[in-house]
Order: sequence, then C-alpha cells, then structure tokens
Amino acid sequence: MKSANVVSFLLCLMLCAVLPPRVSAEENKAEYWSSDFFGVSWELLGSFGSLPASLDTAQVDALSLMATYGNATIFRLVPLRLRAGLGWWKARPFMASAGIEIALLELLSPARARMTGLYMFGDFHMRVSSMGVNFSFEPSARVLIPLHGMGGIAIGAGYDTALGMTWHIENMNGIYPLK
Amino acid sequence: MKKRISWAFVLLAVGMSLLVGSCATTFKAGNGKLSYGSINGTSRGSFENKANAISILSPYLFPITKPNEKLDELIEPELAAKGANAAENIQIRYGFDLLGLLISSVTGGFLNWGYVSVSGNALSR
Repeated sequence: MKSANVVSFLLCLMLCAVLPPRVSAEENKAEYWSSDFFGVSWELLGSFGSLPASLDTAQVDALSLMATYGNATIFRLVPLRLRAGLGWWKARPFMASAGIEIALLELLSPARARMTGLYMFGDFHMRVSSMGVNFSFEPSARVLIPLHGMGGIAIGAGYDTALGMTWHIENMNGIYPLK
Repeated sequence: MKKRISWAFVLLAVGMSLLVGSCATTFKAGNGKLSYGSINGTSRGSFENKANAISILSPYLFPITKPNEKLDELIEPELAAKGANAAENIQIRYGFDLLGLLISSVTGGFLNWGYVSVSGNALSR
C-alpha cells in the first residue's frame, strides 16, 4: 500500500515533466517582476486514523509554518518549488518538514501573486517526541481557493507513510516580488 | 429549505472568493491629468516613485490607502524635482514585496500590504 502510493507519486512527477503545464507564472515578465517566487503558508495537517477515512476518527496533527521558494528561470520546464517548515500541535510530536511543490495549474493575479491553482506536494516529515524520532514521506494534492490578495485557502488530501490518509487546510500565500 | 440555504451560502462564498481573489483595482489621477497624446519637449530624464497600497482582504473591497487613485501625487513631485512639467511613457505597476508577504502571512491574508509604482520619462515644454 505504502510503496504503491510512492510509485503513484513518482509516476505523477514524471507526467508533470512530460506534459507542459499551463502556468501563468512562466510568462515573460522579467522586466518588472522578479523571477524568484516566495511563499509563506500556515498549514493545518491532520489524519483520519484508520481506513476507511472517516470524520469521526479525524484528528489534527500539526499547525505548520511553511516557507516556499522557487525560480521561474531555473525550473522552467516544471514549475517546481522547494518548501520547508516547522509544525506543532498540543500533545502531538514536534514536526519539521521539507519537500517540493509542483504547480500543475496556476493562475496568478495581475499583481503576480497566487490566485488559484492545483498543486501537488511531496514532503518528508521528521516528528520528534519523547518516544523518539519518526520519519515519513507524504505525497499530497491541494486546490487553492482565492480569498485574499496573495492567495487564499488551499484544501487537499494526501497519504502519509506513518499516519495514513491525511487532510490539509492551508492559508497559502505566494508572490513574485516587484523589482 | 436547508438545501436552498446551503446552496446560497456556497454561491455567496464562490462569488466573494472570485471578487476578493481577483485583486481588481482602478488606476487614475486625482486631478484628471492622466492623459494620452504626443508630447514634445526637452527630456529631463526618467523618474520612478512608489507608495504603499494597504487594504483589508482586497484593494477593491476595503482600501485603507488609495495611491492608485491619486497617481498625480506620485508623478508631480518627481517632475517638479527635475524641473519638468510633463511626462511620457508612464508605466503603472501594482504588486508586492517581501515585507508585504510577511505582513499578509502574519495576518492570515487579512491585511493586504502591496504597493503602486509609477515610472516614466520627464519632459519640460
């Protein structure tokens, strides 16, 4: 089950590399806007417990602050961005995460900020508690619903190799800064 | 009845989301001097000026400062400093910087901290 999910994620990555994505971030706006992308997000990560996924067994695992960096000229073929952050929740392990974000479909506002999109993520998590250290990998996907000038609320789901099915609610921000 | 209310809520949420997320705004001069035409004169070099455009959620909904509606206040001091009285090739940009990103993130997107930048060539006629 776990290996099947990892294989599926890798297959999706390969498809992303082959299929040219429709991402407005790749337009040539270099004269006015930086090619560097910066994002900061608050992310609520939770799990459903055992399968089948149910709201009755759902719980919050961490509230994370994630920073994202990308460059439109380096990652021209695939709009790939790097992200890392720290998370915590009461009575849950302290969490450090690092991974990638791929914008499968992204529309930017006229101010070159995130507006809406479909994103795929691959994150490695390190959870530290008095019980020890636990590592996991989590492929996930999110849909961004525009709600403010720099982004909005992203809702999605994934599969964590340690927690099983996961859900995400994220206040997602991101911009190409004006030069 | 409940279903109707639910659908109305969903439609309202989608409408609000599109309205706020579009980040739509208006650009104009407070004195009506943002004109179009051929201007002849002596070049006094280029200029650039910017001001913070602060709003709650979206500049279209709850603007706090409106530099986008008083572009003359950004252009005229620059022209005066260069001894010019006209401008051409005016470019108006609206966007964000890293400080704006941090402020927006800390406030959960509630406070929108962008800026309007105006640049162009100064002329004296």
